[in-house]
Amino acid sequence: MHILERSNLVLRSGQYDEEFNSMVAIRLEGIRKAFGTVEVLNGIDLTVEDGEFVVFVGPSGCGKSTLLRIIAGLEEASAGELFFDTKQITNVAPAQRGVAMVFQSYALYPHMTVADNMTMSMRLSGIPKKQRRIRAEEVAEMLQLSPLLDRKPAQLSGGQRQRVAIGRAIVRNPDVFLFDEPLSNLDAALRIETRVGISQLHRTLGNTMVYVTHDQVEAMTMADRIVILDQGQIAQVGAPMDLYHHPANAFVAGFIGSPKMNFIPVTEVSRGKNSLRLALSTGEEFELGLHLTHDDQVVLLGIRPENLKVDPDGQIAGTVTAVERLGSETLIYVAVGDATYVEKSTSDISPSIGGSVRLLIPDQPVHLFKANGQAIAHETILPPR
Amino acid sequence: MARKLGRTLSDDLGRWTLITLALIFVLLPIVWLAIASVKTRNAALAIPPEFIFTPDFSAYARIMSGGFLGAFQNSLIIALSNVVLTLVLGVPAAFALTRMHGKVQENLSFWLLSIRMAPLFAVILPLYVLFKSIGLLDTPIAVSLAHLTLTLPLAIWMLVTYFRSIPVDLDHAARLDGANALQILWLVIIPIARPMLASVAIIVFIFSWNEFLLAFILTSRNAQTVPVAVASLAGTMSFDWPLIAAVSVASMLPALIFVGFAQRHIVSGLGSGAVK
Ligand SMILES: Nc1ncnc2c1ncn2[C@@H]1O[C@H](COP(=O)(O)OP(=O)(O)OP(=O)(O)O)[C@@H](O)[C@H]1O
Ligand SMILES: [Mg+2]
Repeated sequence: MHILERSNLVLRSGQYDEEFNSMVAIRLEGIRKAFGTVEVLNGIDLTVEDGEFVVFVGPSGCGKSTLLRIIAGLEEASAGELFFDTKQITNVAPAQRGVAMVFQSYALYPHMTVADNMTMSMRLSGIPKKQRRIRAEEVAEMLQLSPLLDRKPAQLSGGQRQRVAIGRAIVRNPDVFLFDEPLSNLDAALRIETRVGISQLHRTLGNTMVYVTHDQVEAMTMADRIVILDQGQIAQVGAPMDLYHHPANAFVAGFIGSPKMNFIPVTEVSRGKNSLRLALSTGEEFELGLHLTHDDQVVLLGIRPENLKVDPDGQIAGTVTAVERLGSETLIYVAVGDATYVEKSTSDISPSIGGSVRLLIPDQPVHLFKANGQAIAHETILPPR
Repeated sequence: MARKLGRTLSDDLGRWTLITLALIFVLLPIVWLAIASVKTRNAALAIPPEFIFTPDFSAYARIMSGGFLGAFQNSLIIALSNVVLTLVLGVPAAFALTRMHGKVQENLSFWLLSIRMAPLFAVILPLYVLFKSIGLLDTPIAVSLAHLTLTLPLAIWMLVTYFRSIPVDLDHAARLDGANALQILWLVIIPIARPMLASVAIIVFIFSWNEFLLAFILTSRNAQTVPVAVASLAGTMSFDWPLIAAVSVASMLPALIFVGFAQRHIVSGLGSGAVK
């Protein structure tokens, strides 16, 4: 989608949007939501800066959509307060909040044409048909929907419907864009294309955008900041690479990155000034050149597939169970005891399936976790140069 | 290619035979009635029936002179007003039941349907007494309201089922676009549900048009409906079979016209594309 080259120009031209796009910061304070007795959100505190692209990500059912609907005003929070800039909007009607939303199901009105779908908000605020048409044509041009303006949604492809849904949001010239898994009904190629398109949209319009997905790749590629939700709570907030390098807990560590981080259960054997000696469940022991700044016991060692190495000098012995060659990289699955770990390498040396290999855990970057899943801070003692 | 053609041909043959048989089964009594309506009184009762006769349209003239036009007018008023009332009351009720959440909504829809489970006999007497005391006996309004007590729960129940199938995201989108509840109903839900509204209208019209018992009990002279008028013919000493047949044939026409009209909404609704 090469959308939006001229979109700024186009957007400013209509009479409808003479007032400038104001950017708005969103502040959530202690937002809670319960459906009956089921707690879905347990106290969300978060500030989305104006103009920021924030992605809510988390497993299915963790409350992402609920949180988004609360921001939109479609759902009422059981407790807590919501501010746009400094204005309390907890009790403001959805249409008055200056938000537009793109739904996972697109939610296009099936009996209306594309043009009418996009300009329904203008119709409801009493703007005459002629002006609505002009506005629809402007936005349709940005999204390459011009030839489709008089069609009904049923006569569109999935990707076209998706663009109409985005168009309907753009028409309103909102302060805040909300997206609820807008790409999940598209095929892989179109998903990437549209992903790029939405990022572009954000750069051109500069609005505050909140985007919900359960796809960590979407989150990593699009977000200024990612909010990881787990069972109605924020597990961590941060820039994508921040979350990748410094996950605050095992949940975040496992959620960000593909393939998933390897988690190796360990027990601490001894702790020196610059060393940490760990034992695997198989009894094997090995040492890492790490300095721990806390005295919490290490129970879990996390290491990303790209940091693990198949190496004859490795600490852990295992058996190769599968090899996946993806072209640019190769994934090697190694069984150790009853666990399987993944190694990702860019070389195309590949051990044979069933062969014995050793896995090398480097001193860094590794992630250490204590019993409650929280990360344990540690320093690596770099070998002298 | 040839074999394929052969198969579809025999397929067609079977299908047409079935359709023809069904048509004969459905239409024969109607044709019989239509023929009887243009016979003389004696010819109509002759055994064996005469198939060759000179048509006699005097029965239709007797509809005009015999005060049946009033019955037709009553029936039309009752059926149409019942359709309008059922939709005007049923659509918002069904919308509220599907779009608002709470204990009341959950239990109300079943309770509504349960009204229909009460035997008609249980409500006729109370209705009679009620209408008598407010002076509505023997008026089309009484019959129409009595019908409404039966058609409204049915309509709500049908509409609730249909409205539930309309994704609630559409409501959400409309709310963000600035629509209030009534605008959501009017601009989004009703247009989508048009085929269902037409089906409900047809069912309600036909029910009201044909209903006998309530109309019979609640009317005497002025508000007599067509079914009641036809039945009263059968009771008289001079059994005018061609007249009964003629009234019956004529009484089919309004229902046919109404159904034909409503049917167009069903078809065009199906053509305008699915909800998702
Ligand atoms: N109207 C409702 N009534 C009762 N429970 C609800 C309602 N809406 C959502 N829930 C529950 O709240 C939880 C969070 O739902 P939500 O839709 O926010 O999840 P999500 O994170 O968006 O998941 P997904 O990725 O599957 O869309 C779920 O357990 C869901 O069953
Ligand atoms: Mg969701």
